[in-house]
Amino acid sequence: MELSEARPTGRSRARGQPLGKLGLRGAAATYLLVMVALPVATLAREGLSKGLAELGRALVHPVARGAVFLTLETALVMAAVNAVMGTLIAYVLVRYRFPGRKLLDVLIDLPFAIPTLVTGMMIVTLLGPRAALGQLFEAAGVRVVYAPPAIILALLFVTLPLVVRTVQPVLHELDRADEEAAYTLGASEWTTFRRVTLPAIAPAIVSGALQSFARALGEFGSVVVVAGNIPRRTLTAAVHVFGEVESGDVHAASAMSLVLVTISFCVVLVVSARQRGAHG
Amino acid sequence: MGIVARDLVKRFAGGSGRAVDAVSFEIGSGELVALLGPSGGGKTTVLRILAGLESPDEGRVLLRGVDVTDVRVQERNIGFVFQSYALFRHMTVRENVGFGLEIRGKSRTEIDRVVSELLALVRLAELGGRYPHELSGGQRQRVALARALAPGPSVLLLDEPFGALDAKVRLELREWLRRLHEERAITTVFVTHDQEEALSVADRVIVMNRGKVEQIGTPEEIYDRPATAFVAGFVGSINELEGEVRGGRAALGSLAVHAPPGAGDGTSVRAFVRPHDVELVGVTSRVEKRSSVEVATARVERLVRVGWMVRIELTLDDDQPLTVELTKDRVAELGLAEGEEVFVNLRDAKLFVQDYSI
Amino acid sequence: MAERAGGGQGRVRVVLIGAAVLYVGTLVLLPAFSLLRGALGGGLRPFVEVLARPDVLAALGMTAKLTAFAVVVNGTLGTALAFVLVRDRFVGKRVLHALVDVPFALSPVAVGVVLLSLFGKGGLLRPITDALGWEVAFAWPAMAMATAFVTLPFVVREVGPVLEEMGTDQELAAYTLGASPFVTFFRVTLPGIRWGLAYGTTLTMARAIGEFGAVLLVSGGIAGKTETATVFVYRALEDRDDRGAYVVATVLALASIGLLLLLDLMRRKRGARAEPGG
Repeated sequence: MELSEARPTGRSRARGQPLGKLGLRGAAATYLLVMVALPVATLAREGLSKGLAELGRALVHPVARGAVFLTLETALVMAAVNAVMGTLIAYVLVRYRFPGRKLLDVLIDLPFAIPTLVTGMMIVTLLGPRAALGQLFEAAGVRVVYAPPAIILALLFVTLPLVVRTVQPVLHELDRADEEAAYTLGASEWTTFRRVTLPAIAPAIVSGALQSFARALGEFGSVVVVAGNIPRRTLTAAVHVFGEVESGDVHAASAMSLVLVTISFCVVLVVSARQRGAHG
Repeated sequence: MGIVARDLVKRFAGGSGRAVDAVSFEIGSGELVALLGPSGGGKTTVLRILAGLESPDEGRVLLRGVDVTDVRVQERNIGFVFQSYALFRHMTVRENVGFGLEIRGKSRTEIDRVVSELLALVRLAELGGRYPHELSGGQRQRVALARALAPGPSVLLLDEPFGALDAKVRLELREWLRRLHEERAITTVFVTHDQEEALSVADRVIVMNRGKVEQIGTPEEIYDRPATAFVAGFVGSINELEGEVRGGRAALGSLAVHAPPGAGDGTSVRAFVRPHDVELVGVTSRVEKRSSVEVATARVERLVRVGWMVRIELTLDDDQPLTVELTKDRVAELGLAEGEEVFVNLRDAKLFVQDYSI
Repeated sequence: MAERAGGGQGRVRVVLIGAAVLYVGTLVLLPAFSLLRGALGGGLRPFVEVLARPDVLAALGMTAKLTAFAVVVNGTLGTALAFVLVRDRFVGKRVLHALVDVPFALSPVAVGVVLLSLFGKGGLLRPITDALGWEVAFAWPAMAMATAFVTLPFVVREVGPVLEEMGTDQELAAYTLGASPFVTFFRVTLPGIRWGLAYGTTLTMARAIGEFGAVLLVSGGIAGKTETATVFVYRALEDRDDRGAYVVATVLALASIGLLLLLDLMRRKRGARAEPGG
C-alpha cells in the first residue's frame, strides 16, 4: 500500500531519514528563493521606490526613451532575420546530408559558449574602423560598427542557436510522409513547404523568435563593445543601465532594468504558455 | 497496360547490396494487385519507385504505356496512401481531401462537389469539418484514401494500408477496398506483409523477397502451386520437413509422399506442409494401423486452444516437429491428450529439391 | 537518406545548403578567425608574454575561482532542486518551476543592479553586512553571487528531465534489495543522472567563464583584485591595451570552444547510450 501510494511522486516513507531529506530539500528551495525571488522583488521595489510617476519620468527622459526604442527596434529586426535564417538552417540540418553538416551543427552552439564580450570584440576586429573589411564598408558609405547594424549583428550572433534549436526537433519529428503526400497530390516543393511544413513548424519558429527577442532586450556584453554607446543614437537600454550605475544613479538603473525585465518576462510567459498549450 | 516495371534496381544508400534487384512485372489496367513479402523485402521501395518518390538506379517505369521514369512525382498523377496516412494535421477532413484539386487550380465549386462526393463514398460525409486527430484509425485511413482519389489519379498505390488498424476494422476496410475497386476500376497496387490480406483482396499477387520477385500469379496459383520454396514457406505453411527421394517416393522421416517429377533416388528434398494437410488418424492405442496407408507415429507434445481451433504440436518418430490444426470437436472425438502417441498421414505437401550450394 | 526523385530538387538543395553555410560562416566563423588573427598577429611569443603578466594571471585566476564556486554550488544545490521539482508535490511548485528559468530572462546588467541595491552603498542589506564586517559589493562575494545566479538554471534543467525519465522504480528496487537510502543514492540514482549532471555542469562552466555584465557592475574593476577575465578584456579595450584584450579574449574563446566540443562529445555519448532502449 505504501509503495503504491508513493509511486506517482516517489514521495515515500520507505526512504527514511526524513530529517536529512527535509534539510536538503529545504536548502534547495531556500537557495532558489533567496537567489531568484529576492532579487526580482528587490528590483521591483527599487524600481518603484519613488512611485510609478517617477518611473514614468525616468523613462520619458529622451536618452532613456531613445535607448528603449533602439533596443526594441534592433531586437525586432534581429528576431525577424533570425526567424527566417534559423528556420532555413534547421531545415538544412534536418533534411540534407552533406559534408560538413556535423560541423555546422556544432557551430550553431558556439555563440552560447563564447563570452558575449568576446563576441563583440570579434565583430569589431572584423568590421571596425581599423579592419580591412570595415574600411571597405566605410568607403561604400555604410557605417557598421558603432552604429545600429553592428548591434543587430551582435544580437544575431548571440541568439543564433535559439530559433535553430527550437525548430530542429519539431522538424525532425515531422513525418516525412506528410511532405511526400503533398508531392503525390501534385504540390511543388515550395507549395509543400508553405502549405504543409510551415504550418507544422510555425509555432516553434514563433517561440524561438520570441525567445531570441527576449534575450536581445537584455544583451549587454557584445553590444557595449560594438555599439559606440552614443546617447539617443547607439545607446541600448542595457548599456544605459550600466551608464546610470557608473554615474551612481542606482534608482534610474533599477527603473530601466525593471522595464527590461518586465518585457522579457511577458515574452517568456507567452512562450511557455504557448508551449504548454501545444502539449496539452 | 496500367503499370509496367522493367528491370528495376535500387541499391542501398552507401552499400553495395540491392534493396530492389531486377524487378519486372506488368499490371493490367483496372487490376488490383498485392505486393506481398516479409518486411525488408523491398516491396515498399518498389511502390515508392512506381510513385516517383524514389528513383531507380536502373530500369524503367511505364504508367499507361508512357515512360515516366524521369517524370517528377508531382506530374505522375498517382494516388498514394501512406502507411501512417500522412494526413495534414492542421487541415480539416474537407481541406485534406480537396488539397490535390486545389493544387490543380480547380474552382471552388468543383472542389466542393468532388470532395462531397468522395466523402459520401468513404462514408464520412458528416465528419468533413473535423481534424485528423479527432478521427479513429479506420476513419483516418478512409480520409487518406479519399484524398488520394480526389484528383482522379490513373493509378492508386497503397503502402501497408491496413497495417496499423485492429483486426476487426482491418477486415471491414479490406472488404470495402475490394468493393471500391469494383466500382471505380482504377489500377491499384497495395503493399502488405499479410498473406491472408493479399490472397483475399487482390486479383493477382506479386511475392517479393530480398529485393527479388519470387512469383507472380493469382491467389489460387500462389497458394496451390508455389513456384519457390520461399513462397511455399511464406504462404500458408507452418511445417517444414526434410527428407530424400527413395524408390520414387519422397521419404520424410517415416512419412512419405509422391516425389517431385524428375527427382532421382538420393535427391534431398524439402517439404512444406500446411497444418490442414496433415491427417491425424487416431491415437495408436485405440486405432489399428492399416498397412495399406502410409502412416507414421508421432507424440502429442502440446495442445493449444486458439478459439474454435486447437493447434496440436507433434514430434514425429524421427524427431521432426509437425503442427496440426483441428477443430475443438474433432480433438474431443479423437480423445487427444498431451503425451499420447498418434498416427499421422500427409494429404499433401509442397516439395522442393534442396539446392546444395556447397 | 532517400533522395527524392524529380528535377529542381537538386538546385534547391544546393541553394539552401549554400545559404545556411554562408550565413553561419560569415556570422560566426569569420569574426572568430578575425579575432584569432588579431591575437596571434605578432606571433606566439608576445601572446605568451601577455599571459605571464600578473594582472592577466590574476584575472584568469579570479574567473577560475568564480567558475569553481558556481559549479560546486549549482552542481549540488541544482541537483537537489531538480529532485524537489521532479519528485515532490507541494503547493507553489509551479511558481518554483517558473523561478528556475528567471535567470535566463533577466538581463545581466539587471542582475548587477539588484546586487548593488542589496549590497551597494545604501543597499537594503548593507547594514547587516557592515555590522558583520563583510565586504560583499565590489568584492568577490558579490561576483560569486552574480555568477551563481546567472548559471543557476543549467544543472536543474539538465538533471530534471533525466530524473523524470528514470522514475523511482530503480530506487525502490534497491530498497527491496536492502540498500540504504545513502547507498541507493550513490549506487543507483547518481549513476543514473550522471550524464545530465555532467552536461549541466559543463554548461555552467561555459556560462560562468563568459559572464560579464553582472560581474562588471558588482566588481568595482580593481585590477589584480576584483577583475575577472572578461572584465579585464573590457578594461584593456578601454585603456587601448589591445594586445592584452586580444590575448585574454582568445583564451576565453578557446576555452569555450573546448567546452563546446566536450558538450558535443557528451551529447553523442548520451545519445549512443540512449539508443538501445529506444
